Amino acid sequence: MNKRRLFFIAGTLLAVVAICVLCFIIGRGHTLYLDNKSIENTSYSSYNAIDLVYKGEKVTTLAARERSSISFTGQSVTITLGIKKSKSSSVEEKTVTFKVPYNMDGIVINLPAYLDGADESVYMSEFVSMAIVDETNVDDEVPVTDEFAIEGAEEEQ
Amino acid sequence: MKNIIEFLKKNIVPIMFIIICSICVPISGFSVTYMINEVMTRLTRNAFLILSLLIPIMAGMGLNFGMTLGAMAGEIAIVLVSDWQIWGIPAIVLACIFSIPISILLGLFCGKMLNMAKSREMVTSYIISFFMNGIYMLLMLYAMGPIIPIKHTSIKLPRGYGIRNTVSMLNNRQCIDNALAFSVGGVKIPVLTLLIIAAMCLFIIWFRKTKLGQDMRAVGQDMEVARSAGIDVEKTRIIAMVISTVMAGFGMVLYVQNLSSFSTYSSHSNVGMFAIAALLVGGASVDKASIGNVFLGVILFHTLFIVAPTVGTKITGDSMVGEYFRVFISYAVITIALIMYEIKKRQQKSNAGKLLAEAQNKEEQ
Amino acid sequence: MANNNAPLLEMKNIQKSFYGNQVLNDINITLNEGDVLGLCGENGAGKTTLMKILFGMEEIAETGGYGGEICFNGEKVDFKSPFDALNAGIGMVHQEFSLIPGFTATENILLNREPLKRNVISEVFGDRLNTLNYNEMTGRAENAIEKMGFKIDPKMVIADMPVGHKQFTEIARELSKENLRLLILDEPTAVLTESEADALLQSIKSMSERGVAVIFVTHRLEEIMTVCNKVVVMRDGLVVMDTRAEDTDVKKITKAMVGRDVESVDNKSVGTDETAETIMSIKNLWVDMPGETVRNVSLDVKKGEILGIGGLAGQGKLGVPNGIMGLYEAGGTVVFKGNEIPLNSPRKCLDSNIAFVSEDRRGVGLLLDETLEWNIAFPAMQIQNKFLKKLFGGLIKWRDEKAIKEVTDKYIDELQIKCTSSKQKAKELSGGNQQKICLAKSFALEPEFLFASEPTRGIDVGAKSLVLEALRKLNKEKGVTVVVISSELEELRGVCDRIAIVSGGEVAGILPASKSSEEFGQLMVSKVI
Repeated sequence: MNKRRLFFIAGTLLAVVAICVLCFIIGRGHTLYLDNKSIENTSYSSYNAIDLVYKGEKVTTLAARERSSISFTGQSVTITLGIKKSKSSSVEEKTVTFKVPYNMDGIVINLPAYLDGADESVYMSEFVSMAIVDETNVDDEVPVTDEFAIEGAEEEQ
Repeated sequence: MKNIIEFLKKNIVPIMFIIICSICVPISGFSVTYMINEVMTRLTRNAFLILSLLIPIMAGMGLNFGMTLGAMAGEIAIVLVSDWQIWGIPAIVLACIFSIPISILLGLFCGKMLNMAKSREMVTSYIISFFMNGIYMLLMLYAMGPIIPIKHTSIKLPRGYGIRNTVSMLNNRQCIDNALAFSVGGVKIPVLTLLIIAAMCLFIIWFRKTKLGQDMRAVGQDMEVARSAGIDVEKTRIIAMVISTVMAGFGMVLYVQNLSSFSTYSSHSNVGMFAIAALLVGGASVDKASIGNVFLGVILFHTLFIVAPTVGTKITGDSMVGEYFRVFISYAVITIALIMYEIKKRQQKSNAGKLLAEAQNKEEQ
Repeated sequence: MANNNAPLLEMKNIQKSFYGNQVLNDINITLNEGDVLGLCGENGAGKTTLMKILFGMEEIAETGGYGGEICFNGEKVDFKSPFDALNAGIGMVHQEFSLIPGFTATENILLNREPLKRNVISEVFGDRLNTLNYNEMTGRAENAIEKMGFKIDPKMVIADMPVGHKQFTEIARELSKENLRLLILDEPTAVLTESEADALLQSIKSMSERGVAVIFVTHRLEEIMTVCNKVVVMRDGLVVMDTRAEDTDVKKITKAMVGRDVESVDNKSVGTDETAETIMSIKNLWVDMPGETVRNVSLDVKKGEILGIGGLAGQGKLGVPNGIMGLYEAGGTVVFKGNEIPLNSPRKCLDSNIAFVSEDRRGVGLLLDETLEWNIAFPAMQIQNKFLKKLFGGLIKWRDEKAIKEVTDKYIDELQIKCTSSKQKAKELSGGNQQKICLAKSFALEPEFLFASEPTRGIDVGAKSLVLEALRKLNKEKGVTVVVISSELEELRGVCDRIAIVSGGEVAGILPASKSSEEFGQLMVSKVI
């Protein structure tokens, strides 16, 4: 009986841990920044236009030197690209999947580099928020800890 | 006729509220769809939290202001999950799971304390919630950052440690409410949330039929008799407290996902106060509360909550008065309901005397 | 394990003392399977203590345990708690109900012994999350009710039941225990109607036929004669009679219960002057005092007499003064010196010069943390503005410390209160001396009428006679009418002119103190409910 219960308890704990792990994986949110830019000192140069389609919906069309972003959860993202290399060339559809590193919140993908078959270290980089740079300039926020209920009530609205 | 009077007497608080609401709603001039939509939102937002109050009442521990502790646990879990950048439904599940150990610890602590203050649970749990609020603030203001790593500047105070006044969960905004949701005549029905609340109701009904539930009911009605029958009264009460705290933690997570942001340093206290007020409005008393009381209470209390500012403004022409009016009402409800409860108790007591006098009259005839 | 030759229960040389006060002395009781033992005796005879020892109640161990030995089923046992006793097969139905008011009879019968069904959740979180098996619960409860032979509705909620059914629910609970060998019933018929009591006696008989032994504690002696085959009478911690039921009768039992040396009573009273005017007239009084309910008391108190109110515990004698003085909710009419006193307002009583010495001296009677002076002078100061100096024409009132000390010293002297000074704190005194302070307090009011409720409870013999003497002196010298309420009949007979016996919440009769103990004894049990 006791062993039986132990078994059940262990099973439940395992299930909870498994759910946690699963949530960490499928729930991890990332922002993918897609660039249509040339990279200096390399042969990768911007395309004429790239259409972005995510989950069947068109996000935007990236003209040269433009950037757009997609938010998603999970460890990989699949986007359909409508590529127009130069003004004259026709639109070529391509579906691509990016596997993203877990600990990066924002990932910048240089599409021209990627499409031209560059190495991951070249086309993928971490997005650094400008807000962090600005941090020192932000007015210090003072935590309010003794609100009366009358103020707190406004939250309810 | 006598039955009707009895019925009115028993349900005086809800009836009072129905009357107030039926006067205020037309004055406010809100459309029916708007009202239903708002009430539905608030019902799904608050019902789970209020349901968490039922189990301690069953165990005779009165209205548990200790649910504030559960709300704190939920908030801590949400802050962590937000910082880990988990989004959507997995974030909600994870926040619930992480709130459990914190809730259990707080519930154990609160249960032990309340065992030392039997029959004064309400005021004791109220004060404990203030005390724990201090510890919670210490954690949020100083430990979050240096001790518990917090990475993101959207959560952290600019000074480098501590949590901002408001934590927003924009990426999780109503993710449960929107799942499976559909709209009927302009009223959004958040199906998944309703299913979760229904599951909680079923749990409570099922729980009443378990041995533990039976023991809690016994302890709630007569501690000494339960003890003499061999029930571990202290332990049962602590378990009731722990269950309630864990439930309140879940409830808080649901509440926050609906609002999509919360004020770090005050929402838990408000949540506790409003939940208790709503339950009392629904006709519950310190020693008796049902699932029906929860839903009736949420609907009545929040209907008034929605219309009060507008009504106040319309009558006085000052929007501050409306706001004041709303808060005033919630405290007034608690006071009135508690006083009614005491009066009823006293009436029951003097009934014994009446019976004696009647018995004497009968004998003489 | 069980030894079939040995009697089911043997209690040998049981002794018990509370704080040096011997309450049980050398008790021997033997009981066989199927025996029904009637145990009777006056209050304080030690019946309840004996049963508590047998049932292993914690308070016995807490107060130093007991002497002698108990053999159950041929084995020496020493129950540490009631649960040990229950496991051994002893069930007890207490005087106070231990039932959950909001539960049905079934739920109460199987309280904490519910049959359970396992489920997935309980596998993880433990057995307490098993669900109750309602079908089996109903079955077992019905079974127990059938065994008992008195029909109660197993689905009825306890709070809605008549008192008698509650009692039967408790009995059914004991019967539902499979291993029950011995059932102790502590005054089970006290709350039953006549037909219910008959049904109970029937079910006791059928239990005994099934081999369950029963110890039946009661004040109703006829019941003992109907159902018991053994009778044990206790008095002052001794077994004074242990015989087969056939060999005795109600009269003999009564005599054994109250029988004391009648000659020893030293009654100095001269009897009531029948022509004296009635100072207080009580009509149809009811008092809702828990455990001492007064149902219908009508009583006339003559001016200048000492009236005793006696009766068994729980029959309502204490309710009378407490109700009149407004400490518990009461109804009826009380006329004092031609004016009706409103009930439920202590102040009105005190204003009409009626004083009350409460039986609850620590709770109601004394300010434990205050000096003797305060204790004695406080009521007089509050109620009658005594011991106050008036300044500026009464605008400011000043305590007259000197007068307070004087009066305190006077009573310390008169009542021989043993204390270091009048400034000593009340809680530092012994019980007897505290009682004297309570008396002094009401004497200081200089009342016309005094209720003394259990004035001698819990104090030693010397102090007892002093207290009684003080009451008598107050009566004789100051002409104060005194009503003494006491459960000790002999004491009442010593000090009173007339004695009213309260039984079942009503006055069973009023007799002059000179009547015999037997007559009082019969009155005491006459209306017991």
